[in-house]
Amino acid sequence: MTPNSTEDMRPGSPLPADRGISPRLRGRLFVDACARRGVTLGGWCIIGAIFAILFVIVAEFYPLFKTPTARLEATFTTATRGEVFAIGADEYREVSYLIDSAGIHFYSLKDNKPLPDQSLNALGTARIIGVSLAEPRFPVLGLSDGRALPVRVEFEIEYRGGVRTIRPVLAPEEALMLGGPEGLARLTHRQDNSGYTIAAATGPKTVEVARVRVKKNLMGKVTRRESRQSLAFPAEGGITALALDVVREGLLVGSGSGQILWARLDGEGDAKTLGATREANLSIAQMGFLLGDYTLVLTDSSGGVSSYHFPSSQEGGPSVNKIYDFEPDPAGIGIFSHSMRDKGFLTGGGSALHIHYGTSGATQLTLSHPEGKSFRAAVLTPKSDGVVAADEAGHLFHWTLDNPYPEVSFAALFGKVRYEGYEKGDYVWQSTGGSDAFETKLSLTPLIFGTLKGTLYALLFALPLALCGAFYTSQFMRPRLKAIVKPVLEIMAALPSVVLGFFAALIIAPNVETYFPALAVSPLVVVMLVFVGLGVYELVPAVQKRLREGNEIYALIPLTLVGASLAFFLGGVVESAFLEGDYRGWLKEMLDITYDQRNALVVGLAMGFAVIPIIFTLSEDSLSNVPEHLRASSLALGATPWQTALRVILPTASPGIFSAIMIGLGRAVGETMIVLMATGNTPVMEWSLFNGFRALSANIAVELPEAPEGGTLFRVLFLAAFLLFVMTFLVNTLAEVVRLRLRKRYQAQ
Amino acid sequence: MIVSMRKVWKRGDFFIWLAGVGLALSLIMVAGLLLTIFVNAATFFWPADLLKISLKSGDTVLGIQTGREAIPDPENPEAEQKYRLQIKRGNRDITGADFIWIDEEDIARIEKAEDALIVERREWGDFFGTLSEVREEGRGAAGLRVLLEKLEPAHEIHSAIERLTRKDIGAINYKMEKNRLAVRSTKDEKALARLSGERDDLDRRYKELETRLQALRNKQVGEAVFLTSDGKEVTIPLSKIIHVYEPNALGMAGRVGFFIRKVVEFVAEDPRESNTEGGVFPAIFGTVMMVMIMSLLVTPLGVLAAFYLREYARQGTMVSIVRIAVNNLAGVPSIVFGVFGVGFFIYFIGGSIDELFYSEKLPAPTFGTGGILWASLTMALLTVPVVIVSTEEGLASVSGGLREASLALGATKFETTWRVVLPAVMPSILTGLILAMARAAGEVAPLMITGVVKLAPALPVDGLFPFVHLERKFMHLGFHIYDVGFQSPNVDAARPMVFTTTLLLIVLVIVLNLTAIWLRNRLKKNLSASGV
Repeated sequence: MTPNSTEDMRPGSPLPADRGISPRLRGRLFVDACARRGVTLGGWCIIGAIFAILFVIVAEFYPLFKTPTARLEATFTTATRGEVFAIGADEYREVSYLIDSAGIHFYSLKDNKPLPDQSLNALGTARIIGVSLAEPRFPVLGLSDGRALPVRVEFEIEYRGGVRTIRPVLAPEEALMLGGPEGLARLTHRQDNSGYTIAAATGPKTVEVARVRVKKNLMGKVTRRESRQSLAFPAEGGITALALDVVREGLLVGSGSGQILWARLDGEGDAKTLGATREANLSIAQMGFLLGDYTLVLTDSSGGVSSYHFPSSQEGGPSVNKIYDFEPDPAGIGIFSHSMRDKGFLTGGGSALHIHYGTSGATQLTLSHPEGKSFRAAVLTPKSDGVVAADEAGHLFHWTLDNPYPEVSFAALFGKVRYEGYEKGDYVWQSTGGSDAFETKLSLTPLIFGTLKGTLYALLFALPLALCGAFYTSQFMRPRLKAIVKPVLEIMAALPSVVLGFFAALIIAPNVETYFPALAVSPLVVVMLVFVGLGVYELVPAVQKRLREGNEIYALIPLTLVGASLAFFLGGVVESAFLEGDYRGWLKEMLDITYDQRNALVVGLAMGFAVIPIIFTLSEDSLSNVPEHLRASSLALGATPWQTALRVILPTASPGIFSAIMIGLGRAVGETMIVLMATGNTPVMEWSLFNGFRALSANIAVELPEAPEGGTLFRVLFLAAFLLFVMTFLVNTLAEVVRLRLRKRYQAQ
Repeated sequence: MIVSMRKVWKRGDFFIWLAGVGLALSLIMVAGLLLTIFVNAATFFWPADLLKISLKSGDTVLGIQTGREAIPDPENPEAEQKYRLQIKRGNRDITGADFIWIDEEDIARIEKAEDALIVERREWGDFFGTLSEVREEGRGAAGLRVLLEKLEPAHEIHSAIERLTRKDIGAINYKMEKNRLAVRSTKDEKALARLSGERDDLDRRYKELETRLQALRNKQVGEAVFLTSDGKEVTIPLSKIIHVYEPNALGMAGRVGFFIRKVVEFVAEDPRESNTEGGVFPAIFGTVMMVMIMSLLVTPLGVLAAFYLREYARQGTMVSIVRIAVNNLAGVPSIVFGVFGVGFFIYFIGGSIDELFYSEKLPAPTFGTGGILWASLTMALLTVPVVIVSTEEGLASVSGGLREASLALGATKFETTWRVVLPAVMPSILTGLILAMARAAGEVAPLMITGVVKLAPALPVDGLFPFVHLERKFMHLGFHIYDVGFQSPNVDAARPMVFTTTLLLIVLVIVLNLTAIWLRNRLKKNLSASGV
């Protein structure tokens, strides 16, 4: 026990700082000090843990918004012999290959040195003058003697003692003679399950197309069939770019005057002009599809980069729709490479490479040449996690990209995005799809909308009931009855939400569907009945004698039940008389509204169960806590109890009621199971009472178990949770502040 | 008359009554919900009459009426309303669908079926029909009594097989898995030799058990031949029959006995037929265990935080802010806590535990996936504000005089807190804890993502070392309702199960809440009686 800690004791402590204390007392004091430290530490830990929730959630979604970065891994000199046409890399970014006019050369990206050259005998004396790298690991070389030479670049992977070694192998296929002695400088190709197609410009307005079908029979014998087609294009200024349209079996051609032309591969019909570059006489430099063969990217001679949608099935032939203009590069664009994982792509020209994202129209990153030299070839690596490029001086560059969530941005999460296949920008939530090329669409807007819609309808139903109930209970009910009613509603608050959701979906939903007209007329019927009941009460003294003030509820419960059954009867009458006997058909016909069985109305009713008791209890408390002298003075001045309640009590308690409503709102916003079970969970954005919605909370519950850890969806769901947290936290804090102020006011009075 | 109406208007009676309607409706809603669930659930346990329905087409259907509804006819709104009956006719393996709708106008006659039986089976749901004969090793005998007599030994063999497969063979499988992982994680030659010896031993014991199992299976020879209502012969092995009874012949005592048997089965047995039959024992067990673990965690934490805030912290702006934050935390949606649990407990802490202690099992996660421990921790965090708020309220109501008296007698602050204040706030702590338990028992959303499954292969507690398996996934009553009610392939067959599970959950939650309310009221009375 140090003297210091004894002095530290509070003024209320009975023990003086005495040095002559007994060992027993010393022990007790020691225990006391330990307890103080322990409790303080424990208290802080728990409070810290509570705040850690926010921290953990933010930490999980924060990486979504990190700006993409690139790190230059290595740069080294290669011994290229002439012009560089294309460059590629394997999946693990260990081996890169470079195509120059003399052949294909391999470089190790691990050791940054050349690998032994593999001779390409098929080349003969010809030189390479053009390359198509439209398929990864399967370049087609355009040769100076007019041949096209398809070459497979294979990477054989071996594991020896847990160490991976990758050995590149060149496997040239049979060359095809497509052009004349001027050579093939412009060519493109694509492959599919049955073979490959090569298209090469053989003149300023002609294209030669070769289709090669390779079949392997059961014995392993390979048969190879080849078919040819010559296509003519009215390309002014000559053909400058080519792209194969695999979806419709057509060929897209860009011209020196900026035309975009299309023709069928089988030569049937004439070539069509689909569009043009942003300005006439800008020559199209590069043309290529993004993953999924839907978005076409064009680059022009002035450095412009733009994307077009190319709808795959449309009446009246193919057409292109301009979507975005990306950041241009004044040096002109000669390099194009698309990602094999998402809608990202790389363009380059001059001394800069740009990485764009097709769906958002954003240019995410620019890589500059450290010495300002021109890049000649560049490629996004197969996993889109790196870039390999070669410049005019024969240097090779290798970057590592840190851009794991290219599709996520503030605009994509909350704004309208024009996805592939959409006529216009829209808010879409669609996290899973059938194919590899499927693009996840993660707009949180429809989910936020769903949450707000559910909350709105729940409050529309719950507010009148809860507030009326609280007002009546606190002001006009006999205390003995009140002591029964309040616990009943507390039990209602304790009902598990899964029970309410189950009740909503299995009991409320089918019944509301059957008896909707009855439900719609019931408020009117009940009000009328109350009127009638009151008339009876006023006119018949016997009733007045039996039903004393404060006991009205005894009459009101049967009255409401009678009203409900009357409404059932009247609902049927109304439906057959005015709604043609089938209100759903009538809704569809007259108002074009479809009725879903699990809809916002059902959610509103079920969520009412959850929200009513909260609002009721809290507002009843604040109404009952209004100082008694206010009521007494109002009554003394001759006001009726009704006038007192309405004009004196209600305004005084209104901040408390406001805070009750806010807390009820917070509960409705975060409610999960009811929304999950009682709506169809379709992320539509309509205010209609008769269709469902998908709320943030239900969405998290459904999708989080399926989302892979650290993936885009996983992190976006954490963001959704953060939004819910913030929404409820704000609402609750507002309620709390209002409540504290009210309490001070009461104390002052 | 007119004058009196105006007076009434001024007195506001009309509006008072209308406000009262709001309350009346709320009360009717609660009562309606509870009544609907109670009626639907209770009738499930009560034996219904087996009806023989003769159709005008000449066919007969044997079944239990489970519903009646109006046939919607939008074409002719004027026509007389027609109805149809929903009949459970069982025999899912023969007829395909065990629930059918029959229009009332197609029915010629409905009568109680004579000597018709309901056979509860381990597979394919109930069978409805009449008994033809009981066969055993070629010899046949007739009569329900014979069948019931033979059923007894068949049940014994069945439970012996169950014990063998579940307990003994399960234990060997568990040990084999441990052995395999141990082999993977060690390089020591000696240890490997020992493990290999163990492995051989286990293999031998496995073979032994398998022979015993086969011997038992060979004893299951009896079978019963039944006739369906349309005269088809159906043979059911005795080992597949759980229970046979004649519903229409049951007297009052028989019905009560049946009711009790059903309730016991519901509470104490495992689910069958993708959760649509049998009991919910694993779900009850999972719920109770989760709530228990949560209580163990939440009580000390919540009480410590409350004592810090009220007794030890210097009251000021900081503490006020913390208090507001704690209050607000009670209003944060439960799913957000679940998300936190996934991010922090499962992937961060669980993942780290796996890497440190269970690396031989990776990439299959042990603690790095949902489990009862993480679910309980998440729930503890979710309910800690309830305990804090309740304890703080209790502390506020302990009079300053009591503390000062203790301090004046020479007790230290800790002694005062421990011996005087803590006993005084005990009921408040208990109230908070019970409310927290009720909340945790009913909450489903955060559990869905932190470790609840529709069918857990094993309970989190069993006879195998270390006996309590906190990493295991578990079943929960609330999730059971969601799963059986919404994910079930046979909605009609699942319906009674959902209602009974719901009733059980509601009763649990309401009893907990009523206890809390009662405790709180008693506390108030005590306080007012003691005059502090």
